[in-house]
Amino acid sequence: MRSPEPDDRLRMLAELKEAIRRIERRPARRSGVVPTGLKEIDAALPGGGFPRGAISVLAGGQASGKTAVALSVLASLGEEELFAWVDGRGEMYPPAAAARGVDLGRLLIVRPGTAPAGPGVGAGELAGPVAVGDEPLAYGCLWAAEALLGSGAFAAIVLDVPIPRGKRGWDAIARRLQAAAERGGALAIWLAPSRASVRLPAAVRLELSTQEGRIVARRAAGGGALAGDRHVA
Amino acid sequence: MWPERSSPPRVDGAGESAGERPGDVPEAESPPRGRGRERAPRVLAIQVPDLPLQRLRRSREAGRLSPAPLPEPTSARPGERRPIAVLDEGRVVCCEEAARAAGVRPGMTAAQALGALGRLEMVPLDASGDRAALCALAEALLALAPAVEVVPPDALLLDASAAHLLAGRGAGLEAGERELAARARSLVAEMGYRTRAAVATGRAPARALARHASGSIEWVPPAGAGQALAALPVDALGVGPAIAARLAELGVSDAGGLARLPEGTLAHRFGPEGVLAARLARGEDESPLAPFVPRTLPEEGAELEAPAEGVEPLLFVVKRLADRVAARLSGRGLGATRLKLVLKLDPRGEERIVVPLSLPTPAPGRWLVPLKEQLFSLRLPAAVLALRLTAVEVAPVAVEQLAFGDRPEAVAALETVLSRLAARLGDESVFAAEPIERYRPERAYRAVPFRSRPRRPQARVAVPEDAAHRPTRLLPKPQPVVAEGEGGRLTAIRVAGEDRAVLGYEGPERLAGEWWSEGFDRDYYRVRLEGLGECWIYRDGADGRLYLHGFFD
Repeated sequence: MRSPEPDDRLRMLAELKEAIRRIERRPARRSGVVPTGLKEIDAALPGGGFPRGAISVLAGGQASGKTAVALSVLASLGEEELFAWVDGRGEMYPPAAAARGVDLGRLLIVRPGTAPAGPGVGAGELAGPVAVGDEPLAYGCLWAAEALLGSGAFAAIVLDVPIPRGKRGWDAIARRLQAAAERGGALAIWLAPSRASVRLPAAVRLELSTQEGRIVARRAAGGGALAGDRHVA
Repeated sequence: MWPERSSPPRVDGAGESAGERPGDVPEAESPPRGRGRERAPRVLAIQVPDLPLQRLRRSREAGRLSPAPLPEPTSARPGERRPIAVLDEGRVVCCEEAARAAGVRPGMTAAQALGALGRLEMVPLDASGDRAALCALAEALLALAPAVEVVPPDALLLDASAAHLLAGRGAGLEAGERELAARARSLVAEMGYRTRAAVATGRAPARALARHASGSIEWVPPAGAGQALAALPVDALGVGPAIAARLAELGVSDAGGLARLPEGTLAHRFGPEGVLAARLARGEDESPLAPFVPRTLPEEGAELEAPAEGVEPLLFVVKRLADRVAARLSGRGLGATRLKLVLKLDPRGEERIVVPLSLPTPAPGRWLVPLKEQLFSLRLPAAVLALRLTAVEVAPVAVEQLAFGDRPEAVAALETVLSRLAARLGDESVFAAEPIERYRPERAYRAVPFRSRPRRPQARVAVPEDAAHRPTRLLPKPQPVVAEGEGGRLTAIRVAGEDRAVLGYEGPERLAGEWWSEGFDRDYYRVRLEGLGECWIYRDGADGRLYLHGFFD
């Protein structure tokens, strides 16, 4: 018997994957990129947008335009797509998001710490071998981020999580987040201060700043190491 | 035994009509033939044989820490589980097959039963527990029929008038009613009970037929109840023992014989009860169902077969309980929005878990993820003896459940992750925002529950006009800053101990609140600061100081 052509095999594999997905009732994985609609930003991005199923980093100062770019991404998603904002700093201002075209009805805001802390973080999640230290806020945020990214229910998730200095086990956390984003097919945007204490390996990393009221983007080195399927162990 | 009912017929009410002449009772007058049959409802009767025994076994099985069912005891092997008999007022009501094989029979005294089988486990009858079990089943069965009647001690009657809708078009009455009966039996089986079922016209005939039905479903066409009942013993009709004994003296032992007796003789000899019994024997019962209305929120519990040290073995039990609570809720068209799981500890004390759910759902699969997470986060100080799961808050399940492109898997994924987040981080930490007309910037929106159903673009919330001039980040607490100037000109602002040169600014924009509700008075400026970017800074009218309130990030 002749073995199938490579193309046939790939198609067959894709069909099988899809069949398994349906049996497991997992949401369909999204792929491709989402443009921001901001010319300067899209020009700096490989493929003209932020990749789905991967983590992108927007780094910059406190008023560098990170939030505005992230909001533009959410505003340009399809009308049936939901998105979430893990707002660890509690600073995201929803009226401004709405003014920038984000449908607040589709935006889930997760603000750990606005309520009394729930029960301790359980086994199997970001606990255990990955010691996140004694920072319950970062802990809650990272847990929520992983849950949202892996759920497949949200097309995009913006992560604004203050990471305490000297956090250990960061690589493992980053890998888990990346794996969750791949699993759920979610576009993840990590908002990082320009002088972040930790550096997240990401598919795309943009350094943002403002010049005369315009956002200027510079694609930073280090991006691409974990881009989508081109996963480098 | 007949249930307590206000509506006729009632045939065992000995003494109820004492002193009345038979002819005075309106029910004794013979109705025009045929008319009654047209008005009598089609009824599916579900009988739970040996309910007290089944309930006992079920609660022991629910506490099993593995998925395997409880093994049936045999009388042959000592050291095994002892066969059970349920006793009421010192007499056996029902017993397990192993006990029956050893000679134990219903009606025996406790001493006789023990004489037949020394290692018999005798359990007193719990009539209220049995009734509650029937009500729980009725609750679940409401998913299948518009009305369900609870008929203690062991039966449920379902209104089968709409059953033809269950079968395909043109499939006929029988197919629909059989389908209803099959679904009802399988639902009750999922709840842990074996049943017998019969579909007939009229409450009493259906019930009598169910009680004597074999394993499969007894189906009787609309006009055939009398014929179907003919071979049943008279006590199947619920005839009191006194009347049954007098009928036996006349040589009448089955319903057919009773139906053939002339009505005049019956009224004379047996009073109205006799007339009613004969009417039932002919399959005539027009009485409507007395619908069951559930009053309490469903709760299911189980005593564990052995104390459980960890959380892992509890999962089987939690799943079983969740399935049962969910079935009962879904019968009422309700979904749980908050669950409570109570773990009874050894030797005393308890642990409670409360799980908020994002959307009212009766799907137990969606409950299990957050329940499991909460369970695993528990540090159990002692072994667990028993579990109790309650739906403490419920809401009607929206008919239009599907969202984004009618993809059920996506909806399920969303509900699961929302429930997990709410359970772990608290309800208040997970929300959607809705702008509201308020002058004070930090109050210009409020948190509302996140809905899975995205609104159509035209249904979007109106955005206040000034929102375009608001910063993308608003500090939860305004931060005091100090202005520094030269010759009356603002040159720098000291933020967090560091001087930042002012590169330019716009403003002021005055925002002030009504003095009676939110007294505040602020002049806001958009200030471009070196090394920080565009900031939102206000001068507070109350103390005259400057505050950093946000960033145009």
